[in-house]
Amino acid sequence: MKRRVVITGLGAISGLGFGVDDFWQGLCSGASAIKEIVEEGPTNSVKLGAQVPEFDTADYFDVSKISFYDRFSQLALISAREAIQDAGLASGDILRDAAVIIGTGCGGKHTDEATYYQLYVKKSARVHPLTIPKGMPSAAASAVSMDLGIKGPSFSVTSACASGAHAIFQAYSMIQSGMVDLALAGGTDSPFTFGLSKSWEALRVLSPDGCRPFSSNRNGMVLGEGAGIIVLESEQHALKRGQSIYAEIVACGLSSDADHMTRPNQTSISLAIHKALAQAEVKPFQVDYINAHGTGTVLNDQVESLAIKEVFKNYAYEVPISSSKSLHGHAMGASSALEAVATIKSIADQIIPPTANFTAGDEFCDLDYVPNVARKHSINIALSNSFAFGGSNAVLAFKRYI
Amino acid sequence: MASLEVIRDVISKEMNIAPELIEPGTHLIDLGIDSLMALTVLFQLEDRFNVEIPPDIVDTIITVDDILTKINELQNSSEHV
Repeated sequence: MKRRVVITGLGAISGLGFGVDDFWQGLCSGASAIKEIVEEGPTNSVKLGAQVPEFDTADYFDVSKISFYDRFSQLALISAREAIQDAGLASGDILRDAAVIIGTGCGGKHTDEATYYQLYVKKSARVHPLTIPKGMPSAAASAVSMDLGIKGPSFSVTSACASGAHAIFQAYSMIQSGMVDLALAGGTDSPFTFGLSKSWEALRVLSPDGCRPFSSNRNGMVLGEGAGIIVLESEQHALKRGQSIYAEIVACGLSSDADHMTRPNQTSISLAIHKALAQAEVKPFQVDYINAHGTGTVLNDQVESLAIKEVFKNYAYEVPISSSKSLHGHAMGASSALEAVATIKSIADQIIPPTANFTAGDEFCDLDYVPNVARKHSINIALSNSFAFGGSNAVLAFKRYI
Repeated sequence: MASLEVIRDVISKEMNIAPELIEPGTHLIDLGIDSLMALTVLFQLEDRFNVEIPPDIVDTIITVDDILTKINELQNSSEHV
């Protein structure tokens, strides 16, 4: 017998600010966090991004610990602390047996690139002794486990831009099966390093002038950074401790393109959505909102729209769809987790955050993308789409908990 | 020559420990500095005193004074070369 799994805590840090309140207000305002980036390294031809506002690490971390924390771990820690506070788990040892699963597409790139700079450019004979534990992709999950005293399973998952969704799926499955009662899951990434941003530029998918998902004048994605962490809990466990519940997670439809490394595949995306609907035991017309993958690239938004039409038929023209990447940028492995937070908040508050910078659709993108202005809407079931490079697709389904 | 003041300063800043707690005979572990954290202190000190502390010496460093002694030995031996 599978157990029901509910969401009892949220944490978010992004270009929109610190904490879920900033994140949600920013999303609903429709004012994008994307702006000219503050550069650390050499002059960079990548000019736009949604960076987390400047903060003093000493406000969050003990000086003796900071040398263990790459920026992607710092963001995960800040977000995880918020999530457990929100879930009423900040005191006592209730977290001891929990799981922590953090998705990351990039890992500790700041650490890695600083190391390469020392070796290749500065010709240094040695590098910082904590380079390995600081830069390893699982460092964020380990940091959260150590910081919060979580002694259950802790590990990272990586599937490029769907990493956060796959982490949430993993936690959902573990709670459903009875392996754990409680889990922190989400994603974190900080891609604003010289090497990584230039690598994205080389792929010719970055927009030079803004993120305009589903709009006919879209011309690419814009990098973002951040972390989104949610607390998942068995329904029984949450009810027993009297914790208020944001929403229930009712499905995760997974598929792989087995096709092309970067080109999205409509059939496979449709399959992931179909699987999510089947698991959730809902018909297409019962879906009230879709938080799209919506990167702002010409191809993604076209194929995603076509897949939605393939699954939802005529109802595709009625169901509201929005891309929050237009507001917080494409935060790599954190994106799907931040978007899960947005989707859960949309259910909790019955508001759909808009797609920013939308002017007009095109022959493929002719659906209701909730342009530019948030919308009050009755939401019982909402989907969160994530389609990663490599062809890893994940569609999370959340349901209003009454 | 390495000085206790510099070592105290580096430990204090790297580990966020009040300088007055750092005495020559203080055991690093009593300051909460385990073997991994000690590496970051030694990394900074290698730069400050222009020495390279070999891996096999790290395990012999127990107290603050051990750091001072080892660095002075390394500096002296490199001068003789």
